[in-house]
Amino acid sequence: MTAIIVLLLITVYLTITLILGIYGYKVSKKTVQDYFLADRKLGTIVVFFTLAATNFSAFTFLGFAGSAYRMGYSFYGLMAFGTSFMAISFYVIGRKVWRLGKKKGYVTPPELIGKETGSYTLRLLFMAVMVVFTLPYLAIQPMSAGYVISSLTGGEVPYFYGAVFLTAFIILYVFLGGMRTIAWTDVLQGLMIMALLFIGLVVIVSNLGGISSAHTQAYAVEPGLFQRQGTVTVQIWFSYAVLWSLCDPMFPQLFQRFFVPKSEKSLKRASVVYPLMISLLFLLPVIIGVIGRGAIPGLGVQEADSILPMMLDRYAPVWLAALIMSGGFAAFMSTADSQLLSMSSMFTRDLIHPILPEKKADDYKLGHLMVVILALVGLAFAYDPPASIFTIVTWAFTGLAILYPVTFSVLYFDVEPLACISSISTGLLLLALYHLQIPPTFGFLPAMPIVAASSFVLFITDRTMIFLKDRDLLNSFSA
Amino acid sequence: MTGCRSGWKLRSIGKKKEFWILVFSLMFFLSMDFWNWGSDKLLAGFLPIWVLRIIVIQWILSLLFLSFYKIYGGEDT
Repeated sequence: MTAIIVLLLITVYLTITLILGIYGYKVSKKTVQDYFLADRKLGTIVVFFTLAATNFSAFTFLGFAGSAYRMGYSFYGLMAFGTSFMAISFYVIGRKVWRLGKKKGYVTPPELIGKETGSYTLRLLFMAVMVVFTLPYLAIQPMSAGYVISSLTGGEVPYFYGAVFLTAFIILYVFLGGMRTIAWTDVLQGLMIMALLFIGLVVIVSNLGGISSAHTQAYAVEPGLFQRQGTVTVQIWFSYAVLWSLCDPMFPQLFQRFFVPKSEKSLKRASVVYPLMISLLFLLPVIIGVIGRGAIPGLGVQEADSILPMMLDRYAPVWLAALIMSGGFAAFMSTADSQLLSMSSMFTRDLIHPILPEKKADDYKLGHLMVVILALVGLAFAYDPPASIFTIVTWAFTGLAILYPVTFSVLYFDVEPLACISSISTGLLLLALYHLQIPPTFGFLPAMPIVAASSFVLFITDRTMIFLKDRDLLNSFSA
Repeated sequence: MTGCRSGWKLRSIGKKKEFWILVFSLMFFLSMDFWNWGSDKLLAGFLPIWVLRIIVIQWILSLLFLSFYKIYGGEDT
């Protein structure tokens, strides 16, 4: 019975998504700019939701509650402020990227960086970093889908069948409508995530005797849930605030969204509303996690990650629990489709297009083909995930933050490509060393010293090259 | 007249890039809240005061973005 209700709700949700996909295909112009960037004509509301929903993965929906179960409200502090402060990047990075994209027709982040500096080597390196740290994420999305469907149906739909089904569906609507469809579905998915989390919290709290009573139970089990002291240090707090501000806009699927608004105003308005929404949305799963500690104490680390479905299972009717968990589905899909399109555009424009003869380089068709290929690569990983995939995911945020100093410098200064390459290489080298736990972190996240060092190397190399060029000592040495 | 002049002065300060760098840096600094690290006071019996503080800072951040675009305008400098 549960499986039928779950599958029925998922079918309704997927049907609406598919209708949007077909409509997106009908109104599209069948060009590269339209397929990858919705012809750069998205309005404020769609831009806001596509920026937000793309950034809210299944982790926001499911993982936040699990982490809050373990860490309490400290987890809200670690996640919320840095993500809200990141909205400043909509102006600092986004506005410049939008202007350059509109003026010069750039489609992908590496294309902008490479062409602005005149270095194909830098373009490839920039792309490689984005791919290496995003592809594993793309690969774990079918896995998440498989687990969610399997869990929602009580194991009646096997894990890999769920992964295949969702991958096939995402391929279908991304293939059909590209960015326009993804952005429209992001509006639907964003609204679903917010509304369903709110309904979930209200239902759970009312069954626990009210918000104060639910918290009293949690406080009795673990008072540390309400404190930072003993749970998180000031250095870690600071590190996360900086890390989210730096790495979030470097995710290719977010970076690429800076190209799509029809005007700068859309980006500006999105940055005004973004902190308001984050402040409330991030709080909902955290509250569920905290009160979950009082209601179902004693869960291990892995079990705690399922606290949201467990609470729904215990305190909400089956149909409502299934409906709310379909919000997790929406969160997963809104990230996966965007990653797929963004990665496809980079493989098409930055890697394949430059090596093909001009006549054969049809980016529109290539882009569609890459969507299918990359989705199948993700599915192949999901079938038998290598252990290294989780290691890369763990370091993905730091890996992408390495690109921030270069991006900022290219947008605001006339920077030497070799300095950018040195900066990224230094960052990657340090990332490897920190992974091996060789250098000290001084209590901060490794991302802090890594970004500081790569920024320093960028500055020093750039100044040195200018010094040498001014004295005519560097005639034949360029990237 | 004085009011007009001070309003004009505020607007003139708001046109400066340095002013906004300072304002946003101040918001970042306030969010660190390390001087209040051990606080465990609850609001209405459930919400830690320091969580409320982070929420309010985010709302102020939103207002500051709005003011930034209204006053500074977002022109290239």
